[in-house]
Amino acid sequence: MLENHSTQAAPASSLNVLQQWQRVSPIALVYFCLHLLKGIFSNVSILAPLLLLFYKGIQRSPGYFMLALGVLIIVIATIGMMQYLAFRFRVSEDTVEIQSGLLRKKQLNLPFNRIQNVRLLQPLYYRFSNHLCVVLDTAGSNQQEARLAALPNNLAEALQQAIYIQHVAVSHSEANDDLTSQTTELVSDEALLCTRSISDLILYGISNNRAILVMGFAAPFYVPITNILDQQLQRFGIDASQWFNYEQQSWFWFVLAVIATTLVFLLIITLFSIAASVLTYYHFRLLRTHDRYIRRSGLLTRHEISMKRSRLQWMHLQQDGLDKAFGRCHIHYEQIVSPLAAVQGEGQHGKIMVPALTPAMAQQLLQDVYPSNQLAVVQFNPINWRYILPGLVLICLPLLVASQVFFWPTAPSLAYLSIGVVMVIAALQILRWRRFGYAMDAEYFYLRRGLIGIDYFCVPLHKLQQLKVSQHSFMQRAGLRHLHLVCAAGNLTVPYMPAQAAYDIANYALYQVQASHRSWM
Amino acid sequence: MTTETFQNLPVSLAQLPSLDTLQWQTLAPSYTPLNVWLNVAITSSVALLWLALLWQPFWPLSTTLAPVVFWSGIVLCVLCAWSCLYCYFAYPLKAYALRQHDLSFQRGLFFKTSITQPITRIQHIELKRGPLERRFGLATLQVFSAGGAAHTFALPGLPVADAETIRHFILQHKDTVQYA
Repeated sequence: MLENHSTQAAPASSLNVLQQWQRVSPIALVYFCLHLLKGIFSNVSILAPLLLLFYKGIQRSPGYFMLALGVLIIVIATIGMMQYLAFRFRVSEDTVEIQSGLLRKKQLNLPFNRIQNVRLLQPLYYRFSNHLCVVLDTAGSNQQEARLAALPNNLAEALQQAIYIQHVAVSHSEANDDLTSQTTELVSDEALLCTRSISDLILYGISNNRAILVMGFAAPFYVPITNILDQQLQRFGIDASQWFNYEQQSWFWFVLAVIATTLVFLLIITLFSIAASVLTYYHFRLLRTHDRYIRRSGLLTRHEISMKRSRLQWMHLQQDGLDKAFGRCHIHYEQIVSPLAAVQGEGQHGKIMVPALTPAMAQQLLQDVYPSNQLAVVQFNPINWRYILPGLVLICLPLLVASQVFFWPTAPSLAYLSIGVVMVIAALQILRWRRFGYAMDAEYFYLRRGLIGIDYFCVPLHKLQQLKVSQHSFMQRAGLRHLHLVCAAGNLTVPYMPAQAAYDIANYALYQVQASHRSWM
Repeated sequence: MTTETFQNLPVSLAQLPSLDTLQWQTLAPSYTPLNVWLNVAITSSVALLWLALLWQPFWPLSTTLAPVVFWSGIVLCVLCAWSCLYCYFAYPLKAYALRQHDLSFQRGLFFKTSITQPITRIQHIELKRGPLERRFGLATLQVFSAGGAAHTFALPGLPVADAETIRHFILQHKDTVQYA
């Protein structure tokens, strides 16, 4: 036991500084103020009318506007200052205690073993003074997090290590394991699994861009945007509207102008996407310690996400349409999703995603996590062709009949066009059916699905939480079942599979869960 | 040396306990009638409200509103009547099965679903009794796993004594005791 104390003492001794109630480093003032600003501007939809009012106001009396701006800055700085002063914390006896709040005083007691994850963030302005923001995630029935806005690098890391060592101590106390070796290992053994270069990130930015989505969302603004552009261009003596007037231009030039404009828009959005990708994933490093996966990345704000290996629920390989052209894919390490976190947009914190991997590297990472997995060689079984029937009968057929009845009398060309559209929908349905594939070996369940892109899932059977078999009357007659596997990371469905195969998988999965006694977390 | 004692026999899928041969147990006999009568009561009160709205003399409906009220009322009443019928035919098909290591529940008339919850993955368990359930001696057993709120396993319409027994069985199960 003495030895245990000595190894634990190393990080703990530096933590002695934190035993008294204290404030975080003064640089946190910047953090608090920026956080407030971010909070205000993330509600832009509410603020929009106010901003419009401001805009009108600037034009009329710039002086008052500057005054208002000054007041706003002072108010934010004051609130930030007060929040900073009100925030006090201490670390004592394996517990983080936090007092905070201006009007409503809050006191939070976080025992180390209640803390699931310690995330270290480094915004750009902390880099010169070597500070870190420590985020303590406490998963559970209600997702809570506590932030220590600014700690010196060494203290933050010592705190993180102290918390993780406590975890190891707890998980091994029953087994009476060799704690000493475990803890020393924890400090030293970070193995680098994977890095990503800038070119990889650019590829990810291109393939992962949501250009079409953005263009769709922007649709209501097309008219005002084009009007503004037109006015601006007219000032330079360019008559842009003339290019798009197909009464004045030949069809060829008209089509060329449309294509060129679309490409320019696509290019701009893609550039944004690349920038976002580089910002988030710059200097990407995936590390493995003896019980955790750690991801570090970020150009301006450096993020660290860590996930306990036992918490990993399944591996998800994703290959979108463009990824296939580049021969790349992304790997997701997925753990338990708290529904609340997903709603708050915090769901990503729990996941580790490795972007733009070559298939060989993806395979290597997968092997590292699940050494006995056979995803690369496994033979996927197809699902029954009846999968396409509901789509054809309930969507395509009514659409076809309705469009023909509606368009034939008035606009035959539209009727032909709608036949084409319905055929595309049907083809997509068939493609989706062909993509579905399932397989199982002694330890894992594999699922392939997708439409244009493909997703692969590799699920250890013992992680199963619940199992559902369903069918409707027609499926019963054809001997088919839907199989739903519910895990802590989500729900996987294999539709229209042969009943015998569904029960084989279900029975074997249950056997794995019940006989192996392996924990899911 | 140790390799001789180590065994890795193939697991025969055919010999595993199978889900399609579960011994299903029906729910409490009063469960279906209770729900049918509940649905009938709702249907008739909806119909009464609708008729009252159509015939009341205080607030004459405008000519544009009258057909809307008339037809939406008919649609609503038909839906309610349908739910009564569905309840009458589908609820007796609800059944549960308890094995050593898992709990199953099946339901559905056209769309049949059977859910199986391994006991070792149960996080916590709740016994719920509404006012009507208390009056008729019924209880609903809710079982929570890490699969999330959308996948809460619920066993409705159990006689209280049975619900208590199942609850006790789950709580005493060595997997729950050991891993929860």
